[in-house]
Amino acid sequence: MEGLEHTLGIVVLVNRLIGRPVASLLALFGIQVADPAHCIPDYIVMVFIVAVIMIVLFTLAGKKRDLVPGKFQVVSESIIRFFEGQIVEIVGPEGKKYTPVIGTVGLFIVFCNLLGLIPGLMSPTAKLNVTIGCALSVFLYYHGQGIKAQGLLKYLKHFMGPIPAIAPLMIPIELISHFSRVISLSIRLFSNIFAEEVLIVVIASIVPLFLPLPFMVLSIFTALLQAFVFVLLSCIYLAGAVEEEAEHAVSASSEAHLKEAHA
Amino acid sequence: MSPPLGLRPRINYRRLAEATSLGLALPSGIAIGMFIGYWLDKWLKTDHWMIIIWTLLGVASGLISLLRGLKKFIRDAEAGKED
Repeated sequence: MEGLEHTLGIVVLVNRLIGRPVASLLALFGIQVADPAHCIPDYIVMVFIVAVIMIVLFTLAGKKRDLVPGKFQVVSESIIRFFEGQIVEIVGPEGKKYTPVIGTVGLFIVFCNLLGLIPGLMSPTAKLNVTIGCALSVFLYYHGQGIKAQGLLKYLKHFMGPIPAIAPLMIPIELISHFSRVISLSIRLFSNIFAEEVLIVVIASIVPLFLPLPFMVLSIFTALLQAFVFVLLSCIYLAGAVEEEAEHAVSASSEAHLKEAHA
Repeated sequence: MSPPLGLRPRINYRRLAEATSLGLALPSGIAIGMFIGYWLDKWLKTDHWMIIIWTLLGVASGLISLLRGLKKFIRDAEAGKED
């Protein structure tokens, strides 16, 4: 990507301001950076921008709560209710307590994806490190909630499969399939956002005027859809970890869901 | 409780999400199996045995998760037909 990208202005600024202190702080922990003047990569700066935007927006949203909601409150409430609705639909009514974590991850990804549309900034999710971080936090969270809901031994029993005789074969297979969820979650998000960024860069380098606009509109759609898919899959994994009889319960809920959709 | 943005579950986005994960199930299973095997080979100094065994396990795991997903799809489709 060296030929396509140049360092963004804000990244240069941040590195000039706090690059050297951060490098010396890392040296305290025994990590030597090659270039102390440019030690903060662009995606970390972008992640911090997203974090600041989210903290400011949702602190403002939580501060002023009226019985008759204003415009801002209606929007923020409907966003949260949307996440809650998705979780309740997949996990069941007891899944409401998972809304904070899933909603935070989902909104973080939405903001990360949309940040790339602002000129002078990039999507941090176009780097694999950020998406693997999101996927790993979801992975740790659903395993933690599964252990909390069922107890450690009972949860580990799910890894052995239905027949005890082939348990030594099933344990590594289940282990691999759980770890591959992290890979598939992170690769999907990363590749979609990365492809979209490269597409816009290439189109803009051919015809800089007007032609990138339809692709940017398309990228708004991709950004929202990918965040939504990420949230849905985390909910499905969470439901599989938390529910007692995973297979049966998932099929029952999907049948109920289908009936509701047809009604 | 109606979701905004026109994202009503009528189009069934949940199955769309599951379908996109089916495509990645096989390669990511193989990749994870190979990675674990490579790492174990380095750790136990058993040249090439672990990577062979774990890659095969990865292929099996990818196939199993693919078949599980497909089974769910077929069951959902049949449940939809009966209605």
